[in-house]
Amino acid sequence: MQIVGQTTQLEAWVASRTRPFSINEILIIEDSGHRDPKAEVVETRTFNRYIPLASEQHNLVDDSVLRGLRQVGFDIEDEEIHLAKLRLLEELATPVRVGSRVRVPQFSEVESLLIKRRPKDGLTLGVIQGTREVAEGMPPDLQDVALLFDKEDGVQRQDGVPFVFDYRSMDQYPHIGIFGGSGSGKSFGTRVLLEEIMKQRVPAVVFDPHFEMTFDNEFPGLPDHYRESYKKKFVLLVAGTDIGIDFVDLTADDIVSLLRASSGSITDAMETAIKSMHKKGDSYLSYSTRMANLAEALDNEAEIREQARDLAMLPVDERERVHTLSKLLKEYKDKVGGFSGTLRSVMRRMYRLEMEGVFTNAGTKLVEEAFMKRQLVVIRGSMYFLNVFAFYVVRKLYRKRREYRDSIQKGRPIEEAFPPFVIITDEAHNFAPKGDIPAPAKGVLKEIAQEGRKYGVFLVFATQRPALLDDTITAQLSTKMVFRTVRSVDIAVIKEETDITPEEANRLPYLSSGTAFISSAITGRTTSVRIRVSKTTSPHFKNPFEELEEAFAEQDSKLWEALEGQLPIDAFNLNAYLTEIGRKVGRPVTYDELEHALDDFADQGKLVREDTPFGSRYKKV
Amino acid sequence: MSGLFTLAEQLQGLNRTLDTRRQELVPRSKLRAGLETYVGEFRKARRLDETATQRLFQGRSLVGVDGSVNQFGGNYPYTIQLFKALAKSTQRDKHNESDVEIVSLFSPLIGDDHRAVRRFMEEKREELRVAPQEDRELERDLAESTAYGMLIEQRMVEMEIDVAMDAIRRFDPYLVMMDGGFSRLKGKGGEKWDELADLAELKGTILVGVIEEVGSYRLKSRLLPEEHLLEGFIRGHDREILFGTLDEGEWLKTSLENPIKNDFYTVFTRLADQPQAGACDFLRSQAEHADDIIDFLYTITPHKSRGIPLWLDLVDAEARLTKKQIDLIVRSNLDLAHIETFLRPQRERRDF
Ligand SMILES: Nc1ncnc2c1ncn2[C@@H]1O[C@H](COP(=O)(O)OP(=O)(O)OP(=O)(O)O)[C@@H](O)[C@H]1O
Ligand SMILES: [Mg+2]
Repeated sequence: MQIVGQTTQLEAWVASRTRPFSINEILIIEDSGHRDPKAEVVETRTFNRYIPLASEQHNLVDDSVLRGLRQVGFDIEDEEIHLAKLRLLEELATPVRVGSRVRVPQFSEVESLLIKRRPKDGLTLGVIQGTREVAEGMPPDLQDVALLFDKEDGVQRQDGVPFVFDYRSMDQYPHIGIFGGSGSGKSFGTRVLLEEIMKQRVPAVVFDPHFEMTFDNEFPGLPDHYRESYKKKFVLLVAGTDIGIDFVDLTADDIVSLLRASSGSITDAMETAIKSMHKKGDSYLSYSTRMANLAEALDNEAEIREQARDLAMLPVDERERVHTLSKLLKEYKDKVGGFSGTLRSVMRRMYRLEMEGVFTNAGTKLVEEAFMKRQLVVIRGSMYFLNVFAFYVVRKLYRKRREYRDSIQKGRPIEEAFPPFVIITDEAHNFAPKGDIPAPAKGVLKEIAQEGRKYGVFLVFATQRPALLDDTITAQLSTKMVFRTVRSVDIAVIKEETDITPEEANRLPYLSSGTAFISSAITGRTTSVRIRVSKTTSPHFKNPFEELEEAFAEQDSKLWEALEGQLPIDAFNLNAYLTEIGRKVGRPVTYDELEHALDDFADQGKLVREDTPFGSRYKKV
Repeated sequence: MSGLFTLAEQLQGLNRTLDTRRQELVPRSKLRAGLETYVGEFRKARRLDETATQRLFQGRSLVGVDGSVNQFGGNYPYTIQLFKALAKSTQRDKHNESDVEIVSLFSPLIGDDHRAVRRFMEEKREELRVAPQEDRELERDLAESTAYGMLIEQRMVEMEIDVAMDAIRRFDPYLVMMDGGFSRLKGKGGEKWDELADLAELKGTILVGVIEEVGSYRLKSRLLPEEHLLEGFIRGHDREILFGTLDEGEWLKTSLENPIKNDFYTVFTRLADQPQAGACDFLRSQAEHADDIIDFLYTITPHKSRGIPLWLDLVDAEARLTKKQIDLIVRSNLDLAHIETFLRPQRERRDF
């Protein structure tokens, strides 16, 4: 390996006939005048000086021609020359000497560059690409800590220096972004990150819209020494059951954004109504009753005004009611626009949330308890549901942490201790969309992006679409793990927001699943990393088509069992069987479905279809 | 503008003349029959499979030889010639080398070189007659310049022969392909050429000169007995006669008893899908290998190409110095003042 061509004080080209270069590998230039500077490979090329010639007129030289030449001793493939563009890690005063020899460093020479934390104190996420040779002299604590996975060959040994993320420096360089297109390895990488967070016992809350983040299924085929159980380190909570929103905590603005998030949009009139009718400390019951009463009052306005004129005329039990209603009318009618339809729309929306279990006084108690045990909390729910919850949960936890820190800082009596924690979510662009698209949690997430560092609250935001993520937040992500990305708008954002070189950006569309560029202010550079194999696996690792078959097979067999007892069945009278069959299957069965199923079973030969004067009759075989 | 119209009209006139002439062309089959009667037989080359190639070469290598000469500067004597000759073997020698390369520089600005030009001029007085000029100095320059041009050719040939001989000694190849025919090598190389031919015979190395474009009137003279066959050709150059006459992979195996050039054995070939014919020169003593060698050359010539074996194409590209390389090396080694004073061609100063 030798420096060739022109050099500058920052860049040089290295060439080799025999050894291909790997991106991001670190090499030492033996230029004693510059004290043997280190440089990183930022672009690699291999070219065959003959192949372009041979193909000037034609795309490919006939194979027979190359075979003929091979027989007389010339193999065109041996004529490859490997070239790499080097970027020096530190700028020199004068250009590198051309002709300098270049060598692979000893591990000790690059240790401080590659390893910022030992695996026991950091997050071991994968293997640094291009470090196979350097890794040979590695001490034992760095070996065998990041096994790899390959779809064809299964679990593989660690062939390089581990990438250990120095999470403890997040107080200076907070927040992590995980970007990549579909199937690029985001979820897999997030899982690995979460495993490491659990290993370090950092409290964390994960919003899991894909129902994929549980940690009790072991990844198949791991060697014994590598297996690890996380069962005690995480809890799974279902939004709307295990946690809910305590209505008392909400402000009028909160209610507006909740309803907006859960139902797409609300009108200005509704917003005004919500705000003007809310009183601090309202419970769901007090608030919704007030609204219902006002609606009733508006509907019967004339009558109530009439009755209110002389309350004494009314029966005793009516007096109270009329009094309340007429007071409501006086106080709110003008503010809500005098139209009960508006109020009913609001109520319908609130009622729906209530039915879904959003407003329970479970609050975030279980999350807080888990945090005290330094556990990871996974919150499950549909995307829309999580959007509603995230805002509440995040704000509540963040406030608790902030109050605790502030009271220490300001020497106030110490509130209940509350730990630092990490918030992790996939589809982050839904929680904090760019521009003026509203989302309930956006405000608090932005606040955390900007201030969370001070309080020890950190974000891990994964998204397929960095271009759709709020840009203040994007700018605050000090570490970015960038997986395969194809869309040019997303690549543009990544280029803008990371120190990824143009050469690396060009490679983004072609990265294999599970390989990422990790660009971090903590290391001050971009590292190409193959994410390690996770020790656990998502519950639905199934092929979707197999899953489809299995699900239907199960459904079919249940139906068959229910049906079999009823045979023979007359087609003209299907309705008569529906209830009984539905009861046995455990769900309502429709006329159409039963008719279809009977025909299917007949086609499969499970029963016989017989034509009678009254239509078909299905019988046992 | 009107000038252009005049040119266009004249070109159209030429086109009509060519059209008429072509209509007189004899049918291809008649021409082929004539060539078979007076020149030799048509053969189909075969693409060799791996074992056939191995059997032929017996583990020995293939060498390609080519050279390039480049000019830097302006008119004589303000000029520099840069030569490069390359012989490249498909196999490496024991020092892991596969190339023999010689480079050299030639310029009337160098005292010794100038003297060589003068000496050459004296020797070739007869050949170098130039029209008398008013200015004696100018007349001498003109003569010198012509001599210089001939010397350049000669140097190039000598260098090519040198690398070829060196390559035969070092790589003991089965076959050496020279770029171009043997007449030029013999004509300019003189005794050196004889040395090369002897060496090749001694070492059992076959020499072949690969000619991309045939350029003589050998066939015409053979066909003279049936003059009607030549009707419709403009000049009856070999190139014209053979255009489209051979099929791809076909070659015209000239009669061994009655060879077409006096000193060598020449055959005509069409190695790729381009309709132009090429030719190959062999030493008379090695003529019996022509069948095998043509088969092999055909094997290593890409179907879509200009009909040159790939190996020779590669050597050709490597032997060339690019304009950029020349500029770079001259400019980084000569002072700018010298270049401006002596070597900057007026042409480069033109704006359009
Ligand atoms: N580090 C890795 N090592 C080996 N294989 C991996 C790795 N990461 C991902 N893969 C493979 O790629 C597949 C897709 O990865 P993953 O589910 O993480 O994609 P994703 O980026 O989350 O996609 P989506 O955005 O569609 O959810 C995995 O099922 C796995 O087979
Ligand atoms: Mg995913």
